[in-house]
Amino acid sequence: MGVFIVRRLAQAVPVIFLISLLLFFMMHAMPGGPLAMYVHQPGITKAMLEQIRIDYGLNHGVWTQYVDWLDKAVRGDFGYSYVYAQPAVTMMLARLPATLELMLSSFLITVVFSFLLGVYSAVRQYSLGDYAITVVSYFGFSMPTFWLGLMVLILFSVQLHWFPAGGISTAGAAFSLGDRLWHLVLPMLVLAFYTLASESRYVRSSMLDVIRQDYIRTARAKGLSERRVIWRHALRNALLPVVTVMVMDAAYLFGGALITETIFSWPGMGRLFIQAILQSDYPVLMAIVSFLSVVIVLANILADVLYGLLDPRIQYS
Amino acid sequence: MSVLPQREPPLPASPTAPRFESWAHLVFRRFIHHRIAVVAALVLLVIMLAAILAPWVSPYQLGQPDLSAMLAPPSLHHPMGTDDLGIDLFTEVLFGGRVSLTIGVFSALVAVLVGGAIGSVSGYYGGIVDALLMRVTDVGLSVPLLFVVLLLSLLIGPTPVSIITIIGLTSWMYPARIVRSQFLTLKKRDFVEAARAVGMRSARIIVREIFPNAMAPLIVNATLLVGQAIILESVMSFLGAGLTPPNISWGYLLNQAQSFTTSAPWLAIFPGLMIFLVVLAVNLVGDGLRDALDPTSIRRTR
Amino acid sequence: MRDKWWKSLLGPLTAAGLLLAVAAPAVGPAGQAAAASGSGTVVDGLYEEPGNLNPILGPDMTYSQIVDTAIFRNLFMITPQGVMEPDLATVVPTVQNGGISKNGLAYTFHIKQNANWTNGQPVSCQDVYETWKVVTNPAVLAVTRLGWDDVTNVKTISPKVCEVDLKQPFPAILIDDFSGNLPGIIPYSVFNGMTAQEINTAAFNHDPTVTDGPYTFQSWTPGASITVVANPNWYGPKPKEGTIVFKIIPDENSLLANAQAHQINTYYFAPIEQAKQLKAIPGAHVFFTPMAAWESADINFRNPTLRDRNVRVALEMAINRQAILKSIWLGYGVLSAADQPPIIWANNPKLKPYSYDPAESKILLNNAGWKMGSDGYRHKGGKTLQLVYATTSGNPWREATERLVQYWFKQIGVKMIIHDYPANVYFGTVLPSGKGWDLGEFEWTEGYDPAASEEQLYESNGAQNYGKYSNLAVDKLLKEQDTMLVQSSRQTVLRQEQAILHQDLPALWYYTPDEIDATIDLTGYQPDPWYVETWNCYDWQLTQ
Repeated sequence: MGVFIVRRLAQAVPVIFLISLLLFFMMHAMPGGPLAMYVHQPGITKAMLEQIRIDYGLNHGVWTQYVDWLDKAVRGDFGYSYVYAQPAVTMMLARLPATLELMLSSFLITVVFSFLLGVYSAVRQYSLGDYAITVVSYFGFSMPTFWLGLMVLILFSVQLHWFPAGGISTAGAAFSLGDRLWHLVLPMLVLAFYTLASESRYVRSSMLDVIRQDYIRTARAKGLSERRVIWRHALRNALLPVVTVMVMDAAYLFGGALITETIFSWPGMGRLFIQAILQSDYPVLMAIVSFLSVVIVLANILADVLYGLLDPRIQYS
Repeated sequence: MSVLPQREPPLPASPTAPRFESWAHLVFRRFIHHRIAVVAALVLLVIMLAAILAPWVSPYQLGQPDLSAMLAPPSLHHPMGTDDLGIDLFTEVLFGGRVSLTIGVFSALVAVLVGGAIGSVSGYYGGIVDALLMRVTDVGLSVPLLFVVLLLSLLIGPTPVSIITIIGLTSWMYPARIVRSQFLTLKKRDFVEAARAVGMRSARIIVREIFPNAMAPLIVNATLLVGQAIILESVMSFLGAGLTPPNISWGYLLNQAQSFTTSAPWLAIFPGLMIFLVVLAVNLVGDGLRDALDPTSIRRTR
Repeated sequence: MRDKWWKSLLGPLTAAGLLLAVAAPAVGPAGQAAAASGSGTVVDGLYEEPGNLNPILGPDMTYSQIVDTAIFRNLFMITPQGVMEPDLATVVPTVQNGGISKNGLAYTFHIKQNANWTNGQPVSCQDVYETWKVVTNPAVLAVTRLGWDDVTNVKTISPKVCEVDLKQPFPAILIDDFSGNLPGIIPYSVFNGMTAQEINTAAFNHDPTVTDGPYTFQSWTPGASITVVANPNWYGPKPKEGTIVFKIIPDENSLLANAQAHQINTYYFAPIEQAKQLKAIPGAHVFFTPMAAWESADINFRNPTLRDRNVRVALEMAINRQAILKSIWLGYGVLSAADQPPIIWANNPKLKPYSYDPAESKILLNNAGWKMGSDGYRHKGGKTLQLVYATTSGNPWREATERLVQYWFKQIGVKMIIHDYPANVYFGTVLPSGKGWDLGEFEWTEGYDPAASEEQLYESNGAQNYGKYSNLAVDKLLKEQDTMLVQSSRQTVLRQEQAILHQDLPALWYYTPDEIDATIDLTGYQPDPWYVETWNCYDWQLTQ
């Protein structure tokens, strides 16, 4: 296992390198570009634009720029944001806690509920409860986050005044845990709702596969309590395919977080990322993308390791 | 106690023509018994027909504004109300269905085909092939989806065909992973060993022997993908890189409706309802198919 | 037996439920600690996060200026009535009062005696000098150098009196450099001796501790909010509330929801489709302000079809602009005959907008040789009359306009393809390249002096002449007015130029929309078309 992990980590290096290369070139292929912000500035001249291009280092070929970027990046220097004139890494790290808060809480909720609902649905297949869960979870799944988020805002914040209309804490108020949690509820649920649907479906279908197996029947026949059969024997085996999906979904959650953070004015990395795309803020874009790809690659390795731990048939030689 | 799921190959190991027919017949018969799935299939059929026949069944011409009837609530004249230009929403929903359903179904198809191929080869051959293909998959999974989608849409322009290509080619990673993990388990089974022993070619083993057995989770994923594609297309609209009229989709309508949520809620309700219905129906049909394809499933009657 | 298994679910479910229940009632309802005047918190909804709070540093972002104006001041300002008044200065210099030399090359500024920086230093001539030095440093990413490049020296006569010398007469210098375009001057005590690199990345840019405006900087939570508090030592009126929080809400629909939930007190540049919903909020006031801006669709003269004036006129007359204004803009705007809007002195009041007359359009197209085909579109020499219409995506009213135009064009046999782009792609690549569009709709906002816009947009080699429009008569007139010192002569010339633009249609003239701002539970807000909205933030007061 140790060898496997080391080998996977070694393989991860070229993967991350490849991703950065791919994205660097894609980013430069994107129309718009960092100078677009300056084009409508009063009194702007071609000479001034050229000066800005030089300041940003955009006057070199893309390959040169990439090598230059890589050279600095491996030493932890991701450059200065074009828009904020602050170190890109500093900016990213400043917004990381908010994103982690949102993603981890959503992930937790998703995992807990998708297991509860998925197992219920599987054990009580075709029951009224199963159908109710199916309908509700597909509702969450079929509503785009931007739309669902807005509806939730209007219902719970504008109409019912139960929750704030976005933000991470009350404007101008001192820090309080209650206030933070209170702001967290809506974005967390909206973000969780989307992944919940697909994950509870995976749990359901995986459980269905397992509980039809002979050994479950055997376990039942042996007079083990149903609870024990389901939670100990069946679930453990059903976990296998689900774990992969869930760990990968953590990455997917970031995609959902982009939109959720925008709708709920959540000061996280996702929003910074969208902004960096729309403003062609290359240094920030590359810092976030590099960070994400490292996280995702590690998550995938973790998924494989978990897979191995749960399924003794798979050997890592 | 062994935790190995001991499952016999469910279907004939090498279905020849007549046997295939009876297999299809069997699947169909099983499906028919799945009442909810049949209802869902019928609903889907009606929606698809309505979308296909949109030019003939829609009460108005698409894109015909009526500035005297802007944001009119649902009525006899306009069963779903009108939008901010007085265009009949029912007409837009019918035409939007054509685009959304096409995008949903074909994107999922592209994703499943590409992902299925990569996952099968990777899982079956293992070793260096597997390592390489899975690293490619890792790259695919690690590249932020929205960024790629946005970029490609800006580069090649948002037409239905380009959007199908973009979504299809950015969604194959899950199917690939799922199929691969199925293959990892299935390739060690007796029936595969048997097929190898009689000298069957690898390609044939993959396509004929293992793949049918790996179908069930893939179908669940494909049905999810249909919904995901429809939604992803609407997110592209949200980010400003989506379809433009006259190629309107349900996602486009939903995005437009955002500005009128409190003044004209019907604009959000009807397209949203259609997306919901289709996603629900496709997935219920998927569940039904999955059960029908899987002979170990025992119908429980209440 | 099987009935009981689900009970095992109850444990975790209840726990999760409790977690939520505990989280919910912990705090009271949102909103401001609305207390007596002087201590309340005004929450200002900002659509975009400012890049930095250094008033002279780029990129040029309206939302940076909004925050800057609350904490920084410049020498002069332009009132909502369009009159220049002193701000940091005591008097507006003129030739009559001796503030401007007869040859127009020397300006004398008197700074208020009680104008001080928050570090106790007086605002002085040194600060004006430092601002000039920093702005004109080519390696500094200054927000603008317009006018500054013409300054040859800033002389200190006494600490509070300075003389600015120019290379050549440049009457717009007061507007371009000492009011409006620049929210403020920068403190000498902070920037003296810094290199360009140090200035570009100074801590001050995100933590401006030395300011001279009605409010002072308190904190900036990245991505979330910027907080400023009242400056007790400011030279102007005492700010009516204690704190302004600029809350960053990067989505228009979320901004509306925040307004409806009474969680913000101001909302700038609301889209027209939200106007009715904003008006319906109790305690809300919606402001419709005529703007120094206009909406038009640039013609791409690279397309030979559009070089035929008959075709351009036919297109203009096929669009029912009156209906767009009435139905989409609910009447909040003015129809254009050419570019300059009525509140600008260069506007030519004699010009009348083209009428909506599709029958005439059809005749014009027939005359131009475009004959109706059996497919419902016009053709000439085997070519279909087909145009690509582009604009920024994500604006519901622009998208609505496009769909209407598409429909109206269809009525006269013109096939129209819509292709929208995100703003930075549209302005950064699509328009400048001239590729991928035949008609490009956008709004142009101009400063107090209209000549710069005319030169940028319609002069043959203008920087924003995206469609390659070229008319030597226009070029000549623009050059002529450039050297004129008397405004009435410039007006005559610019009105002539307007008449040509009306006739020529370098763009399809649409309308000037009103700016829409809303306040909720707030008084004292007064929109100023020449300035950013926080210009009188000291007057803002919560109503509850």
